[in-house]
Amino acid sequence: MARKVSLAVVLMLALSISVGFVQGQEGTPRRVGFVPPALTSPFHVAMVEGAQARADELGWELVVQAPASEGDFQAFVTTVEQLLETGVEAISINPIGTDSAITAVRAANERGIPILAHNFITPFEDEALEVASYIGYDQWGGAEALAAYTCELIAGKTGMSVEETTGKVYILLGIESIFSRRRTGGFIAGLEKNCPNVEVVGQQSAEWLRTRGQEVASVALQQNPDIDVFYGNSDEMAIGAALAAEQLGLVINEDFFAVGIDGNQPTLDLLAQGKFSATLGVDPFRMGVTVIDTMAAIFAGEEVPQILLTPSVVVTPDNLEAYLAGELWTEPVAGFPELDNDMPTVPEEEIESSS
Amino acid sequence: MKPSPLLKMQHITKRFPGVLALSDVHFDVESGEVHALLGENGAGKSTLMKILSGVYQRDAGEIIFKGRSVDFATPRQAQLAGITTIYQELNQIPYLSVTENIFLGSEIERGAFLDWRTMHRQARELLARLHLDIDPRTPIADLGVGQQQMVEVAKALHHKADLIIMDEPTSALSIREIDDLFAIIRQLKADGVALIYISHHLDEAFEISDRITVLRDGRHIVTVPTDTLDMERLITLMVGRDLSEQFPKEPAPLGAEVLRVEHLTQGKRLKDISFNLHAGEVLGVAGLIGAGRTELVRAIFGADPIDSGRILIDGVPVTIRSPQDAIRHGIALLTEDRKRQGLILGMNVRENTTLSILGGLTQGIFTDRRKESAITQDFIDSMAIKTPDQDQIVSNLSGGTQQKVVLAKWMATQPKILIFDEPTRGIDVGAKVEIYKLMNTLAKQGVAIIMVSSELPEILGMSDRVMVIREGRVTGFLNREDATQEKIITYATAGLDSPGGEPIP
Amino acid sequence: MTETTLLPASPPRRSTNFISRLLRDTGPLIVLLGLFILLWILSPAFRSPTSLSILMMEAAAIGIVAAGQTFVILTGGIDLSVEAMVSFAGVVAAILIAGTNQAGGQIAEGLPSILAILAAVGAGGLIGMVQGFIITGLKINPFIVTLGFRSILLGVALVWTRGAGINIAKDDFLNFVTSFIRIDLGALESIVGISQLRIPMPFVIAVVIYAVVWVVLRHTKFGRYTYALGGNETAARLSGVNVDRTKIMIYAISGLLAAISGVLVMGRLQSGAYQNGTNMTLISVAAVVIGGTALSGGIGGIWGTLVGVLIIRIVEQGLVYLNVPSNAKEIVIGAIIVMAVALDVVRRGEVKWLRFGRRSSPT
Repeated sequence: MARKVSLAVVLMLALSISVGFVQGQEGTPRRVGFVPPALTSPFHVAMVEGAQARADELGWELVVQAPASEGDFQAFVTTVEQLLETGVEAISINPIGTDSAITAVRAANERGIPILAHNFITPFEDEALEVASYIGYDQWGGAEALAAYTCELIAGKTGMSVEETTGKVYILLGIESIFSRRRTGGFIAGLEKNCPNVEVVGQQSAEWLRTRGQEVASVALQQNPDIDVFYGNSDEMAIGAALAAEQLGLVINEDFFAVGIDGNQPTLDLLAQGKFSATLGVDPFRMGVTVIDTMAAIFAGEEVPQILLTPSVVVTPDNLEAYLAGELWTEPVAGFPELDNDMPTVPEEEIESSS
Repeated sequence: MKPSPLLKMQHITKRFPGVLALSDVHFDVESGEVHALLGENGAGKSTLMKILSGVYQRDAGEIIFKGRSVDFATPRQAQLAGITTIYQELNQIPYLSVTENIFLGSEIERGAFLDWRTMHRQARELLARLHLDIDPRTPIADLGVGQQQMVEVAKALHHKADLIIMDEPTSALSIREIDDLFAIIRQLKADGVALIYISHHLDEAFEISDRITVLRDGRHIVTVPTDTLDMERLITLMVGRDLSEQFPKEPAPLGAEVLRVEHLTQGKRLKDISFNLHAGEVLGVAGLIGAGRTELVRAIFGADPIDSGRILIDGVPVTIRSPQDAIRHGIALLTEDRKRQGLILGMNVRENTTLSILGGLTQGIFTDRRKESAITQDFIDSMAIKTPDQDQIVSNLSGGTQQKVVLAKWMATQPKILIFDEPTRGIDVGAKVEIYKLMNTLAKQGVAIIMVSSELPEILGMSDRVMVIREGRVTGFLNREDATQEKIITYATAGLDSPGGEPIP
Repeated sequence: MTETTLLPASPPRRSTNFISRLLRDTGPLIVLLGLFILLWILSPAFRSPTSLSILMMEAAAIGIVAAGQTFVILTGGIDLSVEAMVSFAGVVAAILIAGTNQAGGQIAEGLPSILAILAAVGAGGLIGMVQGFIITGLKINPFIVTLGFRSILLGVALVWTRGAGINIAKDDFLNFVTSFIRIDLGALESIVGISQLRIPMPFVIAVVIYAVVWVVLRHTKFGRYTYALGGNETAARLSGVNVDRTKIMIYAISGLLAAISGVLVMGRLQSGAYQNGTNMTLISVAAVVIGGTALSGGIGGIWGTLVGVLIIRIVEQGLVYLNVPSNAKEIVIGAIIVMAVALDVVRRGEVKWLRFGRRSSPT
């Protein structure tokens, strides 16, 4: 009995402290939700850190909840619904199982709570759904830019001009999804545009994993010992490929190159040490900050763009420091939706007119 | 003119590979009669009843039921014709309700759905007929064993049984429950239902039956009205054969006391058991199935924990918490179920033989294969184990040979005390005699032997002394010269020490 | 009452016995050889000693996990925690070597790798032992206990790494562990067109482990008890076998071997990440079963498991060599697993309707 009482006292104390803390901020503290597909990759962890940092500055309470694994779409929907139930004033989600997330969006709409999507700019097909803003980077465009840089790397190795150079590229695919399709499509389009004589000699799934990247690349090198570039839909797979090639006696950035998408810290460190060639940096930390800023704009009654495009840059050993310092970050702009249509996200004519 | 009986079985013969289980057996049952079917284990009672209920097919003979010649291919057919068997092991599904169990396989449906209302109502009517105050929605698991049995009777009534076979119905019941059961049996009788009653409890047969049929060795011995028999006469009818040839007992000189068990108690299964055992002695342990014999030897062997009491070996108190402890103290146990508890069937003769002594056969960290082979070969030769070689997988061997392998395993541990639980179950006669001879040899070498057996001739033939157990208690000791089947059965059933038995709480 | 003992009409003839035993023991090996030859014919790229080297490399880590799994399955249990243990041990070793749990590249400021590896492997054995204690002490089904530990270990790995891989720099010891042994082919060079065969050190380690396991299973008391336990636990207990201690040891071995594998994977990827062990549980169980060990326990052996591992790996690699579309891979691998086991069951004559000429008719 005595124990029960003391427990209750502790609980009440804890409650009063936390209430005091929240109320200590000026005005009413905002309570907002943030739902990554899972917290099993540094990418999402970084995004949460960015959002958290901004929320702290604003004195908001940020509630982060995620399913245990990325593939668990059902848990994703449940998580969103639970957050809505506990009372948040706005919520941002990163849906990866697009159709299953519709239920979650509908639940938010029914409650009239603004819902945002982050790291995701493919609008739901259901017109009745209202998403306040889709925030993310253009995967196709980013992959295309990475391909352009890849062409330069190959040209540097062969000594030919970028337009004329020949070479062999091997692509490590993620598990089949809109993400892997956009990143692959954009990269191939970029190669064709910049160095049409470079050949894609193979594409195989490495399931987003470093181990599988290594296994697949080992075999790929048996078939084509003279592969010039391993491109991974994610950095991890490309790192695996680089390790496989090194084990077969090849030297990175001399005999071959490894490029990928994500720009996570482990990749950036390898880049600094000359163990990787280039990555597409999308600065997940600042993407997280953008999410909170957008929420703030919505609370303030401002108009926010339906699609908010965050920048992506090709990070190489040369611009790594600038990237880390945030110097390469540009303000998010209103953009175009990314559709699963094997076409560039930003229509060609738009690029031409803007340049 | 006497009306023709409800059931008439004539010239029934049944042969199993190597065994003539039933030979020209006659048996009949009148309506409204309770007919006790008695005999020793293996006399053919169960076989006869399985033929009647469609489990087995007869090789010869005729069954006439309700005036028609019948031939049941399955138990279901027998049930539909009006013959229901209530087995010793109840065939009930514990987490289904009383109603569901009664109607299992004959559910009443309305359209695609179960008609619960009708089924519950009918179940309630059946229970009421048996004066049972049970809610038909109760899960079977929540009922006591006695009530479960009553539900089984209700199920028989539901199937409109004219003839109910009860196989050892009282083995799990308390005295109270037995009284209830008898009341129901009498009521069924009054309703014109006939019952065949199989039991080892002869006193029950006297109490409830109208007529008694005795089978022995698959033959019909006698069918008489119950009141013309007394216990002694009945037992003589049930046994009665010359055993001297079958049991080549050679008395060994008794040595010092090696085992003393004092006040051994284990829950409700074993109550205050005390006895001693000398080197070279064979102590037979007799009693009914479920009396606690196997529990006793398992407890001594450390396979099950005991609540109180102590065990002394060579006069020194010992603690036995596991079979390893027992083995260390020189005790070995040949379990009653060879295949499930004695052998690793997928392993070969050598691996089984040395399983209990591997620790002693290890040099450094490796097992000494050569020594292992040598020891195994010694046993194969000395015990005449019929196997092509040591690498033979034991599941390919005959029952008698398997039992020898188990015995070899235990002899390899060089035990001081060797416990046999049903040493010759499922073994043909020739192999039995070989096992008995090995027992003689061991006794002469000074090994003390405890032999649990359900076969009275074996107990009488091989024991120097017999200990009888009933309901977890020792009810008597008999010396070899005093022991008779009659005395053992009396101790094991009616009981001289406490007539009428005690209620099991 | 009427126990019928099946006496063989005559002792089985040695010759048929020998042939059927050979078939039983070498069935998976024949499948492996068949796949090898098929791939040799279909894919020119496969016909080099290096592809053999790659096959060995890929088989090593999962092979070591499967060796531990063989022990567990021989006793009739299962260890679902192995893939989590691979990840966990890799993460532990990586954090100790890096001296930090911050995601970062190529750090080696912590312990020398040999100490870190010993710690990780020791932890693996210890955690396996704890699982064994729970399984035997509380009499909980191993399926449940190891499933629980799978979650726990993955969760710990995730919390410690925050989802990122811990990159490490290899020191001499790790370099040695992940190196190749080069064998000069000499005169064979003209035939195979390459002067050296490179045998990956992890594969050498795996083969050494298999040899040790074989000796343990075959020539020690503990090995015999392992089979006895799987064959008939009750009988083993009543024969004086310390069943609980044996089981605890078994799960400790499985944890230890999974941890060794985890360290090798980590060394190879130069990263301790929670994804390192992905799919290894399933593959290890499949390899054990393909290798002829019965899931019910008591029957089987260690070399079959190695063959099982190689079968799965050669199928996976073959699909890459043959440029089979990625998404179809799962289908092929699943089908191979089911077929290999089905073949085994049929070969042992356990499927009644597939046994010819002995159809029993109802009487």
